[in-house]
Amino acid sequence: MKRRLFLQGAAASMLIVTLPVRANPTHDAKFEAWLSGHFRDMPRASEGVTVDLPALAENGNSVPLTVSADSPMQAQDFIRTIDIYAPQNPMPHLGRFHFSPSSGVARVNTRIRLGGDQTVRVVARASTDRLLLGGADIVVTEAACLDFLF
Amino acid sequence: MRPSIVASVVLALLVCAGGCDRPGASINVQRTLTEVQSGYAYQAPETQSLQDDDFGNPGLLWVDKGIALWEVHCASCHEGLDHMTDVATRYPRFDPALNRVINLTQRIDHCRTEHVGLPAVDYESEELLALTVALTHLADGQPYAVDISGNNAAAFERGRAYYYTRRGQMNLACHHCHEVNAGKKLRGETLSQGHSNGYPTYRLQWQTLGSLQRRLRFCNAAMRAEPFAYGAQAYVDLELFLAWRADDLALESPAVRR
Amino acid sequence: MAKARINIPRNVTAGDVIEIKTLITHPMETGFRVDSLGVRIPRNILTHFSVTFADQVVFEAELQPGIAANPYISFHLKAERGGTLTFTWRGQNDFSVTETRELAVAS
Repeated sequence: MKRRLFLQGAAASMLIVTLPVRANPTHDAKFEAWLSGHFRDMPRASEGVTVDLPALAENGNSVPLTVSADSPMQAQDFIRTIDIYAPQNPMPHLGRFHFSPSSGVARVNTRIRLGGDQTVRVVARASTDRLLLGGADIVVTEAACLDFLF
Repeated sequence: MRPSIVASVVLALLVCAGGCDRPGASINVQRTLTEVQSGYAYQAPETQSLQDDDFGNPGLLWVDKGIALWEVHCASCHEGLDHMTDVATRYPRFDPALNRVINLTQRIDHCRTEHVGLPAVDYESEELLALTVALTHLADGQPYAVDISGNNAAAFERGRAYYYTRRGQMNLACHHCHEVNAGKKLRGETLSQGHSNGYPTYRLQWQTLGSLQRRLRFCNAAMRAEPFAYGAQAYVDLELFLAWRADDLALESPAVRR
Repeated sequence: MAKARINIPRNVTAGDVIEIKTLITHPMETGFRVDSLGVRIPRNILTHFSVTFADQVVFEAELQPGIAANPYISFHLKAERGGTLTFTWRGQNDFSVTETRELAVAS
């Protein structure tokens, strides 16, 4: 009984310790380099972007992702593009989505590939050349066996 | 320990954890499982909602294709798709012309080549997958209604024997993973009951739609057993047993699995 | 044969912001996988998706190998009036699919 209690406790504490994605300075540096390479010194805000991504994916081949950016979406101020960046992927830039005032709302829903645990970054660029940044952590579990060849 | 060693030890433990009953010893024509559960129940919520999405389920791309192909090649003989809503539930079944038990895909292929005069295509070709999944999707929500008597009995018995026979370097029968140990973990996976009611299925691992035989070939390979060729009679026999074994589970093709 | 699925809402009133869903068959081969003989499978992806309405581009996407196979993309549109929406997917190896759908808008 004591042993079982201990095991349960150990399992629970492991869950708490290991589930959140650890901060990854390499990923951060990679993203920063990409960001400044593409958008130079545009002013940034770390709010206004909502990223809807599951906390855990049982397969990295297809993960649902919805991103939206706060904006009036009027001719004088709208979201021009949204970029998705996954630093752990072999090709981190996953895509760029273009919007216009006729979009009504800057929101896109797609399915992405993720090559491991990471913080997925989202960059929304307003027509006023202001950047809104957001992100979401995800743990990607691996299958017991890989069988795409069969 | 290396992961492969861990996996072998885990497998060995699993096999005896549920009681190593001797295959063939106590099996009569009764289902081993008392309560059937679709593979759907073993998926993450995101995978389940992908299957439930009646627009975005990627398997529906093949259903669309299959219906379009059916309109071109099959509609002139058949009365209409609304007369074919239960066809998929009755396969595999004995075919008098071919004098053997065949599955739905083989029936479609036979129709294509013999009656329509189209060239033969690979078992796992896009065309046969599309037609198979279109007809199976029509039967969505209905349970299998296969006949295991008469001309079908021999194939059923062979399929049942296959299911309970150990094979491969792992020395496991289908029965050991999907009945004795269903619901338990195999590394990161949860072993399902291994039902066929969602096939053809869109597997995230494949990133495409695949047939039940593709899944069976992978099962064999994972057991370190030599897979049979597509269309092999051993697989068709096994499919008949699996259809019977699924009991009252509703067909749900195209299912989505991880 | 239609390769794509497109969903446009019905009962749209002028001024509504509607969601348009799209799905297309494409392997989105990453170029990182190898076949059973260990030979690298060449990259083959969709690179571009665009939607036009009344000769104006209303949505556009640039896609990379990190987009899942059989790409699903849904986006929004402020429906002011009815008309024809043209959907175009382009990719490597001269891949090109164009589909049109009518958008009906009640005033």
